Amino acid sequence: MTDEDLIRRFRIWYATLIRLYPKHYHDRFADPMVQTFEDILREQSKEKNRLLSCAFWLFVETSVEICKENLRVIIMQNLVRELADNSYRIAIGIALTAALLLLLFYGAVVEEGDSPGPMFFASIITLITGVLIARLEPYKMFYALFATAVAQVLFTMFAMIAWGQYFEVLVFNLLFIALWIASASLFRRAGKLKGAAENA
Amino acid sequence: MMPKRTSHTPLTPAVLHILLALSTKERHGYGIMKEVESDSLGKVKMGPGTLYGSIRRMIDAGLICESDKRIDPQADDERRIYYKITGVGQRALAAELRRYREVVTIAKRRRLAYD
Repeated sequence: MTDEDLIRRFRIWYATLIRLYPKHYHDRFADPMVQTFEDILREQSKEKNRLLSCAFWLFVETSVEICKENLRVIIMQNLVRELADNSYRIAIGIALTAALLLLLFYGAVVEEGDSPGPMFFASIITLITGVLIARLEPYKMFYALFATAVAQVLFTMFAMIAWGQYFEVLVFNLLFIALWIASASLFRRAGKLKGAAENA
Repeated sequence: MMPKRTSHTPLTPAVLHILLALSTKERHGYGIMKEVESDSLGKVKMGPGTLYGSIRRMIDAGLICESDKRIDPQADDERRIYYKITGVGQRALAAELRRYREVVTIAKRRRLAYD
């Protein structure tokens, strides 16, 4: 495969990667970014440097910036706007409290010399993934928190089968399932209010 | 006398180098990247992600803006966007360079710099 073919292929992949930027950012900078990416690779090719390592570095560098830009949008735009609503504020508070309690519990268990295993993090990982996909939009957050509650239910079933301490496992996990569902319901309410306000 | 602090100073190294690169003429993204690398003797290397992230923040802060000039006569590609420094950007750059001079003066006074 010639350098020209490689550059063309990397260019297509890079254009696909930068689609992960927030839309307004992508619309504004996608073309010049792809152009700059191509310029760098062409120069590397002209100087007989290794294209693969350079392209890899550019993909990693841009991926990091994509995460930073998305987080900025999530925090600065969505969160600030949505926090004006009481239901949304309480929902965020409950979700954060539950996540924090779960992590504290994990720390306490580990300190006692036990290890609850990676399944313990099923709900937290579901929550984080859900929040990133939902970008803090109330209706999508409802689904994210609902999925988190489902993950907690699955973990409960797994823990009851694996550990056999039915009562403790059930009581402990029911608390978290209730918190995730309460948070999901409040997000749903916030979403409904937002929808009604937008339609008015 | 301490330099007057503007709302944009101190600047991050990336912003300072981009402003320096644009202080002489309008450049497109890759042109800025090459100039920054040359100005910093290869010590500051930016990828497109960092570069355009900085450009976005600088446009929002009014330090630079897009130029009407779109086509590089040599590269002849209309996807290239040229950027130029604004009056705010020039003032921020001047203030930052003054701040650097003051820091160097202090360092010399304390015999920390020996050139």
